[in-house]
Amino acid sequence: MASDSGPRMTLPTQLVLRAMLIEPDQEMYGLQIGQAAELPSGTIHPILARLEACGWLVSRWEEVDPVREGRPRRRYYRLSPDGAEHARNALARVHTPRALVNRLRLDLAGEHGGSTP
Amino acid sequence: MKRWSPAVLALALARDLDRDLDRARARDLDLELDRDLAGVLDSADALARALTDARALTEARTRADALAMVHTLALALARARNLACARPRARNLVRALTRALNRARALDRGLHAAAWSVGGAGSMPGRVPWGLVELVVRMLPEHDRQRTREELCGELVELSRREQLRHALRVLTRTWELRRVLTKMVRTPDGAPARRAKR
Repeated sequence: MASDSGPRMTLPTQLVLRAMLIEPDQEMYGLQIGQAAELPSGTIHPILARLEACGWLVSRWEEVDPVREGRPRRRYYRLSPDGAEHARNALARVHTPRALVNRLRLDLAGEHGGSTP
Repeated sequence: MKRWSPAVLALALARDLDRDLDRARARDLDLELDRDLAGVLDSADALARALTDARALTEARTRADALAMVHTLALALARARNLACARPRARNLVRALTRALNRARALDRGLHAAAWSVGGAGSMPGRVPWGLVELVVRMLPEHDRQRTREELCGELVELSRREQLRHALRVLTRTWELRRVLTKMVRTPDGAPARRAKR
């Protein structure tokens, strides 16, 4: 059962959840999630870890032959059924002005001390 | 003159390193020191075994292991040098460790070259991003290191060289936060994240 208290709904967390709720059943790996959330690469690992700790996300290793693929296997994440429901509810409770979201993205992209996820 | 492939050279280096470490271990035992070379030896054995299968060269983990071994050997060498000031017999250990460290560094370079030579690994991470990832991993709780190392290295290879460095730096700046989350995480007995109970 996913946590009812849930993670802190910071702006980057909201962006990640919104991106994953577009297709809740679809698995995505870290770089994909970052791109979908329009957050710079390398900034989302604490968010993913926190969401996984709450039970909102589940993850698994990709089952591929690294030689055939020519790259290491990826770690795939997806919303758990409970997690998707909790995420929708949590996002419905928070009201974040669009302008603030855009400013956050610019801050993070420029690395000007962006908000703590 | 026959030109050996980087994969064959890396394997030869790994086996030489294995022998060097055996000698260093013998010196270590000779001095009756309780040093931690056993762990390095195990890593060297595992690395040599992995390298017998050339496919392992495409796995980010193999190179990360080599880099970690360089770091551990450098620390062991520093300790041995300090010890040699007081105990002349430790000089043999210093010599053995120096040889092993040089070999491990050559192996790290060899693995890098070999990975480039294997098809599809055209964007192998540079040394700096790789080193930064290793630094991040070392700051995390032990049971999360291997997973994080593999995940981050997997991401690096999908980025351009310039992006790799930015990516690694951004991960580095968020290490403390990641560490805090992982440290507080409730786990199942096998170490996987456990969902928190409903309050």
